[in-house]
Amino acid sequence: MVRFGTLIVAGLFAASSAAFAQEAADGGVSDAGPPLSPDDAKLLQQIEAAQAAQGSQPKAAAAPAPTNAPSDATAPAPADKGKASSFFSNIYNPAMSVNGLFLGTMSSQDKPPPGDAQSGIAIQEMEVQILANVDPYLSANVVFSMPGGSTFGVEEGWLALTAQPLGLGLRAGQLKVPFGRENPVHTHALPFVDRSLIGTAVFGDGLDEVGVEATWLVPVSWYLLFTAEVLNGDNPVAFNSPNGRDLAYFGALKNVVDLSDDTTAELGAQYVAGENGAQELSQVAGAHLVLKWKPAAFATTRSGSLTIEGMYSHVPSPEHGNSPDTWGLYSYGQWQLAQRWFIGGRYEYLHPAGDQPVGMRESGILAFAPSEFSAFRLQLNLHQPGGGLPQVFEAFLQANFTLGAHPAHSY
Amino acid sequence: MKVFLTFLAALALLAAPAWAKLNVVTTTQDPAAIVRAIGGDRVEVKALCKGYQDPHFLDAKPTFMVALNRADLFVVIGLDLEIGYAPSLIAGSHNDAVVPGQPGYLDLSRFITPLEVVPVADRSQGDIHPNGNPHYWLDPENGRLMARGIAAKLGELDAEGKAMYDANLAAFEKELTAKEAEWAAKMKPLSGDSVVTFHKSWSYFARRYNLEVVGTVEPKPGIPPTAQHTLEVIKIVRQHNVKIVLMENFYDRRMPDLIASNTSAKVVQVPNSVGGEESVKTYFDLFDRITGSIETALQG
Repeated sequence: MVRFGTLIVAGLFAASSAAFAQEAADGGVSDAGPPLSPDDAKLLQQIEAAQAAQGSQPKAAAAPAPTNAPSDATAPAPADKGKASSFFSNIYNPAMSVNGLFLGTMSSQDKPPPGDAQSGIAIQEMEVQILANVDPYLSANVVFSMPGGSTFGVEEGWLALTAQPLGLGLRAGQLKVPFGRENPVHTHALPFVDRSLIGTAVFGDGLDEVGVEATWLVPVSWYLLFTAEVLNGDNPVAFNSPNGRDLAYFGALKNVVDLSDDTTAELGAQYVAGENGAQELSQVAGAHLVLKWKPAAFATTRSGSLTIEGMYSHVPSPEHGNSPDTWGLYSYGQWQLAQRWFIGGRYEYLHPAGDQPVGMRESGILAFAPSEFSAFRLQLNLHQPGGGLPQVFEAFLQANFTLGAHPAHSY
Repeated sequence: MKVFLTFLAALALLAAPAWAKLNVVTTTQDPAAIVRAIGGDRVEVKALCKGYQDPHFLDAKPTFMVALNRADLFVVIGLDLEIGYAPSLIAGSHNDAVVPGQPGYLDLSRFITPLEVVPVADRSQGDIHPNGNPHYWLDPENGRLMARGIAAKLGELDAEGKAMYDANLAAFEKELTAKEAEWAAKMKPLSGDSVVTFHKSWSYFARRYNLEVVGTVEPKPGIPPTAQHTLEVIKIVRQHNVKIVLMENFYDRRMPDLIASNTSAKVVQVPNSVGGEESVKTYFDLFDRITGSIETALQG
């Protein structure tokens, strides 16, 4: 069953890729064709000449030039066409961007346990994203990240099929699994400086897995996306079976409806299962609800959102003993005060597996975003780890910048 | 497998009846208004952006992906106006037909000559558009070029309707020519004058009606006005004897009002897009409204 599922998805990916390549070669996508007849060659020359002319003079031939037009000092510089002096140019460079996060932390704990915030100033993460179409059939997205500014790893690296056979979107490679709201989000785009308690308890640094994915936009009147993935199951907290042949399976449903022109609701549910280190079946389920309000008339100056996400994981192992279940939720609200100012508040509850104490955390955040490409955020956390441990107070100041290609905003 | 494919094909046929209209999605309202004028009842048009919404800052809402999923044609303004959301929307639409490079994707900036192309861009200059200023629909002659591009595309996708699209285009152009004379007459008193605008969005309009934009209320595109910059704008307005401060109705008018109250300039706040006000329903209504407001401000 395990390998059969993978075979189907992988086969579909490969077959449709090959089929599309064939179709494109037959059809219009590829320019290569039979040798041109003399008439066609002449026509082609005319077309090329016309194209060259188009580049050098205004196309608006029918538009009468305004009289006494102000001189156009920033007119396009004449393009230096037809003078390719090198086989090597940067014209095919992919779209690239760099995200940097600097974080200053103050914690009430002198010697915080591993995993807790340490006082000091640090590089929280550096990330390089590279994105381009590979050829007419495939596109690729690679994200290298350096958490802590040191070890350089592949956070995402996938190929996607450009065509969508039977309306299916197909991807393969290292994926940030779309498990709920928080998991697929890159560190620099998180609503708070840190990841949630429940997300960290269930998946550690996140569910990033090598695998294949198919998505289907279900033909109903609202947005309903079905996602299925077959994953290698390497997550050290939830899966990571010593049995190399074992895989993890993921499925998700995401609904989005417009309640009005200004308000949108998202309701999602997801499930992932696979064998864990104790060679038992781990299962994780989650659900989330998001309400977003953004009035069209004041889209740049006012917006608000409410998010709640809950997760339940069942990871049987000797370490967890008789209580293999972890559950919890986080809930937050965000409010835009002005074009560049945002505030937010978050509440979290965590019931960990293995008789660990129940924890709670409250956070508040104030963000100043001078432009789409930079932000400064101040966050305060009040963490009750439970089990008679003292309350922990944390303060963060984060600087966030983006260089390069314009980031496409995810919703 | 064959039976399954036949079943799917049958489903597809059922889902697309012969009388189905051409389903067009545009990012902004102005191309939508022109598509409506040219396409008549052979097309169904939906614009994603409200006319009173800043088209730079639309969200890639999944519900927009549903609209694109069913589209035969996706019309964009281009020149990176939609860079923050169109790529995500196309990727999420699960619709091969509207991917750039396919016949179902129409970038209208192809038909116009862009102004303010910046060969080397740097974000220290603010939110600029290196391939040219995208607010080209504010020159009615560009509207003519957009209409021709749209008519050609509709005829290509729906050959049966081509004669009708061509006839509607001819009617559109005829009315446009007549209207242009009206608008030019209203704008004549301002010809050769200096103006201040809120955002760098009136370059094409200014060129058409021979206005010189001597300053913007925003210090740099997309950067909200600061006190120091506003002071400088006030000086510019006095120095150049600027009569109007032209701004869109989705920007905050506090700074423009402050500039006006300290100078002899008047604030003209108008929609810059069809649908920006309820009464602005067509591309012609838009210029009626803009030139009308400028005329009133100059007289008053």
